[in-house]
Amino acid sequence: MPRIADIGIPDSVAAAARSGDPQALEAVYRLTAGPIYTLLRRLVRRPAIAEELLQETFVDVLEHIGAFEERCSLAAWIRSIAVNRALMYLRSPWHRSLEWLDADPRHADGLTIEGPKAAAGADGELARALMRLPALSRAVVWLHDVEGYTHIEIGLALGRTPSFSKSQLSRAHARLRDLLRGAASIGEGTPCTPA
Amino acid sequence: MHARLSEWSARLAALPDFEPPADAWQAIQAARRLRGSTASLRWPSALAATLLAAAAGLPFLLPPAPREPVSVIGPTFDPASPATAAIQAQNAWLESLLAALPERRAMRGSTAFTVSQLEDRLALVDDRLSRIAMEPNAPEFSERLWRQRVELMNSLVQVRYADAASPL
Repeated sequence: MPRIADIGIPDSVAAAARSGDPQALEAVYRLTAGPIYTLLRRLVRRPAIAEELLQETFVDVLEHIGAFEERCSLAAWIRSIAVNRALMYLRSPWHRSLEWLDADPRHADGLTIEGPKAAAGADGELARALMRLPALSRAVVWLHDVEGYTHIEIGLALGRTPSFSKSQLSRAHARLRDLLRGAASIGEGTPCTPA
Repeated sequence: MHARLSEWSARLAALPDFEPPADAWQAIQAARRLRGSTASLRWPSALAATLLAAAAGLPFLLPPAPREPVSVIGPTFDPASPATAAIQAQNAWLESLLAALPERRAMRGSTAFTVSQLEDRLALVDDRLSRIAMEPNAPEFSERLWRQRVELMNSLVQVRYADAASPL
């Protein structure tokens, strides 16, 4: 999966979308919706919330695309809206009130069901381990490792320092390693067929 | 160190993508129209737009089966200010959304606990609202209580919506 910022939106389509052309707006949506939704699903545990955030993101895009100033690519601009939306949600009292519910592994697993192209084996374990990280750690990991954010950018987005981002990333990687090691040892100890 | 970082990057980036809902674009357009017409309704309006746009694909919204009255009924209160009236309208809208959500025969214990807690807090707010006329500074106090009620209703709708949207 390419980074969202690298998604190529033809200049002619971007220009038409900025002027409000409905077909161009839909074309921009079709080009970016999948990666943006994947980003949201990785940041937010609940599929229903990710769908809400996707919707809110693109409503913002439709409303404000005329003001887009081309300081970055259009895809990067849309990504920044989605990330801001997701981080606002993760910091909200509403999300915090549900954290204890999501901490239940059975419940969390139910919420993180992979899509039709479900990850199996090692990828599946990694996806599940990622979802077991605390919300902000998960966001730091995904934004840094997959979306290519710098620690300065993550610090700004989270209202924290770059050092906070660095320490979160380091701890999250260690936690991921632990979780994956644990999953592997469980696999070794539970043969599929009786002896 | 950098080799390890790039290893994580490669593994995470290789995870499968998710497909957005097929009707998401229609829901986005509906939500945009709704946001333009009712700027004060934010999350609830988006949620409503999702539900409305998804109605064709969600069988649970289609059968107009007789239902029990809404589980949480808002108190009646003569609005003292336009602000309170607007909040009450938002509250009524959330009530209607809640009524449109399916009643599941079974619910996760933890979800049921959350729903129960929210309903208890709603009952507490309703009780205070029913006695608001006797309070000093009743209009300001009632507006605050109505805001609390809308927040609780919003949470309740979202919990119930998430529950309805996820497999048990």
